[in-house]
Amino acid sequence: MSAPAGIVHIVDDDASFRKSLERLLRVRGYQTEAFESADAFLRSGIMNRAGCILLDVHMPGLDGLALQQALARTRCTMPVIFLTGRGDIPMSVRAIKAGAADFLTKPVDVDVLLGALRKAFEEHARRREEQVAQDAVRARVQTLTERELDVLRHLLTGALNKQIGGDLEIAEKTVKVHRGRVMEKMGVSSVAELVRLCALVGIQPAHTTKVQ
Amino acid sequence: MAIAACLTLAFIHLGIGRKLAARAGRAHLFLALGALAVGATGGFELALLKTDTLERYRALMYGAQFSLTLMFISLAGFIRYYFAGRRWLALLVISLSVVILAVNSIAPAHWRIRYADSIRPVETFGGAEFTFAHLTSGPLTLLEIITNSLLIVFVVEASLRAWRRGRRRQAVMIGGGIVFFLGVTRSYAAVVEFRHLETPYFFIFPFLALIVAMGRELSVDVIRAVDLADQLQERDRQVDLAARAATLGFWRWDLKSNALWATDSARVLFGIPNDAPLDFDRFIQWVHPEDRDAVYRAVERTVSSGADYEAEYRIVSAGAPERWISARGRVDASGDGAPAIMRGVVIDVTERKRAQQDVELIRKELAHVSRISMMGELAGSLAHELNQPLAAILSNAQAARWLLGASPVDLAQLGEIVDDIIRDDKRAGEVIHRLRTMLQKRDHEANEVLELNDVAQDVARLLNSEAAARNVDVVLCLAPGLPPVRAGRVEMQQVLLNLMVNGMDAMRDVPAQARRLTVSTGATGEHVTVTVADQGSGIPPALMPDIFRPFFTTKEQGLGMGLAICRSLVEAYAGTLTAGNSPGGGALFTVSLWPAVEGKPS
Repeated sequence: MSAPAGIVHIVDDDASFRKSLERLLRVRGYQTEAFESADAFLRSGIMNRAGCILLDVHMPGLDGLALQQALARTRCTMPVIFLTGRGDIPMSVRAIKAGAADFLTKPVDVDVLLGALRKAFEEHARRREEQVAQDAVRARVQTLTERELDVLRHLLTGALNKQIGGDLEIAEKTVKVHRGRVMEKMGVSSVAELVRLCALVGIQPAHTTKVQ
Repeated sequence: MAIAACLTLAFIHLGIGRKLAARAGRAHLFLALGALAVGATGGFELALLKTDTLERYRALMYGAQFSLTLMFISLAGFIRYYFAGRRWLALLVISLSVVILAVNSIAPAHWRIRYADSIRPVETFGGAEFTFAHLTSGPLTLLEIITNSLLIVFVVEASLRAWRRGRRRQAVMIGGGIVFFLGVTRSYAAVVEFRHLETPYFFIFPFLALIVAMGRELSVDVIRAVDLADQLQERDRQVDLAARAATLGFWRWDLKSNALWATDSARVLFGIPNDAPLDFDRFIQWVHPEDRDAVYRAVERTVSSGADYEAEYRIVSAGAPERWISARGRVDASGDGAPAIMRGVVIDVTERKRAQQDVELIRKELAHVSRISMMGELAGSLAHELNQPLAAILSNAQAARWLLGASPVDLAQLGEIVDDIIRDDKRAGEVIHRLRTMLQKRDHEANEVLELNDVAQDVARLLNSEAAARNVDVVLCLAPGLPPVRAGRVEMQQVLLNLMVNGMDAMRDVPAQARRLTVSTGATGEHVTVTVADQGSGIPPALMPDIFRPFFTTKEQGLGMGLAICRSLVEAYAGTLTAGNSPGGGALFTVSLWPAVEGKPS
C-alpha cells in the first residue's frame, strides 16, 4: 500500500512532536516538510504543491486559524487539516466553516491521521484538476475580442442570433460570424458545452434589455 | 588644733577613698594627702615660730618644702580626679613641683627659694615673741611662680569645664577657692619675703580653708551616693517586680571568662536551679538542638559586628513542655574596643508563638486552597502541557510499530525512536512533578535556598501552554549571577504564577500581537527582585491602595484573594510585594526578597 504523491506540510511549534510526526509519516511513505510557526510557513512561499497542510491551532505568533485565513486570501488550494491538543467545538466549527478538510486532536491515532491525509490528498488532486481545467478555459476566454465576449454572454442567455443582433444593434449575419468564432476559439461544438465551460470560470449571462 | 583637724580629715578621706571606685576614690585619696600635707606644714610653721638658732630654722625650712610640694601635688591630683582636669597639665604641674623640690634640696644656698639669711626675735602685740627670718630668693623662685601659675591655669580650665557640665557650685567653691587662696598665699609670701611686713608664715590657714571646702564637697558627693544607692535599691526592686510580672529575665555574659550571670527570673524561665553554675556552653544545652545553630549565628553576628543581638529559640527541660524564648541584647566593648560583655533580656513568648503558629497554619491552608484553585483554572493548559509529550510518544511508538514489520528492521532508527520516547516521557514526568509540587500541602516552614531565576523558568514552563493559548508572548529577562534567596520554592512559584496569570488576564483586550508579559529578575539595593510587567491598561491610581486587600477584585470570576495571599506569602519570608504601573503602560508587580546570607532574618 503506497502513499499518495504529495507533501505533508507540518506546522507545529512543539519540536519534539513535529519530529515524531514527520518520522511517523515518513515511515508510512509520505513526504514531509515541517515548519515551527505559521510565519515560517508563509515565509517559505509554498502555495500550491500537491499535498496538504497539517496545522496546529495554538502557536506563538500567528495561530493556526489565522494562517488558514491568510492562506484563503492567497487562493491557496492546499487542504488544511487541523491537529490540536486542545480543540473545542466552537473552534472546530470555525475551522471547518473556513474550509478545513478535517479537525483532529492530539494524540492522534495513525489510522485516523492517514485516513484524513488520504482524503485530503484526493480532494486536493480533484481541486487541482479542476483548476487546470479552469485555467485552460480562462486562457481561451482571454483570446476573445470585446464583441465576441458580448456575443458569448448573450449566447449563455439562450437567445437566438436575431435577438442578439437586436440587443447589440448589429446585423444577424454579423452575429452569426462572431458566434462561429467564439465556438471555434473556445474549442466547443455545442452551446451546451459552452455553457458548462463558462460556469466553470464564472462568466455570467448578459442582461437582455429587450423583453421578448 | 588646726593640725589635729587636718589629720582627722586625712584619715576620714583615706578611709572613704579606699572604699570608692577608681576616679572618685582617688579624689578622696588626694584630699587625704593634701590634709596630711597641710597638717605637716602647720607643724613646721609652728616650730619655725619657736626656733632660736639659724641652723635649726634652716633645717625646718628644708623640711617644710617637702610638705608644701606635697600640698601642690595633692591639689593637682585632686582637681585631676574631681573635675577630670587635663591629664598632661596635671602631670606637668606635678613633675615641675618634684623637679623644683629636687633641685631646691641640693642647690647652692643662693639659688634656693626662701633661704634664711639671718633670724631675729620679733615681739608682736600682746607681748608674744616669735622668730622672724630674713629670707633670700634664688632663681628657683621664678620656677616656683611659673609652676603656681600653671597650677592656676590647670584648675581654671578644669573648673570651667566642670561649670559647663553643670557642676557650677563645685566649680565656684573649689576651683574659685583654689585660685583665690593660691593668689592670696603667693601675695602674702611676696609681702613677707620683701620685708614689708614682719609676720610669721601662715600657709596653713588658707590651705586649711581649701581642704575643708574640698572635704565638704566630697562629703556632699558621698551623701548623694548613699542616697542614690537607696534609690537604686528601690529601683532594683521595682524592675525585679516588673520583670517577674512580664516573665522577663536579665542576663550578662562575660566573653572573656565565659561566665554567664542571670537573674532568678531568667533561671525560672529556663528551669535552671538557682545555685547551678552557668556559662554559655551550659546555657546552649537548654536550647532546642534545632535552634542552636541560629543562636550561635546571632551571637557571632553581634560579637563580630556589634549589632544588636536578637534570637528566638525553644528551650527544652526535662519533664516540662517546650517553651519559646525571645532574647535581645547588645555587646559592650572593653577599654581596648574588643567586645567584652554581652547583656540583655529573655522573655517567654510561648503564647505569642502559638498564636503565630495558628495564624501560620491558616495562612498555609489558604495558600494551598488558592494554589489548588489556580491549578484548576489552568487545568486545560496543564493538560495540554502533558498532552504534547504524550502525542509525540504515540506517534513515535506507532512509527516504531510499523518499522518492526519491515524487513530488514531499521535498528538504528528504532534506537533513535526509543531515545525520543524516553525523552518525551521524562518531559511528561516533569510536568506531573511540577503539578504535584504545586498541589501538595506543606505543613512545615519551607525555608529553602533557591535561585529566583530557576523559579521564574519553572513557572514560565508551567504556563507555556496557557500563554500560547492566550496568544501571550512571555519574555524572560533573567539577570545572571544573582545571589540565591531564602524562601519556599512552592510559595514563590505560586506568587509568580499568580502574578503572571493576572498579567495575562489584564491583556485580554489587548491586540494579540501586543500581548507581551515580561518577567525580569535583578538586584535592587540589598534585595533580589523579580518583576512581572504586562502590557494591559495598568492599575487605575484610585484602586491602587485596595489591590492587596482581601476580596478585592476587578475580575468577573475572581475571588479577590490572589494578591492578598501573594503578599502574605512573600512577607512570610521578610520580603515585599509592591505594585505599580510601568511608564510604557501596563501594571508592574515586584517581589523583593533578602539574599540568603548567613544570619539574615528570614
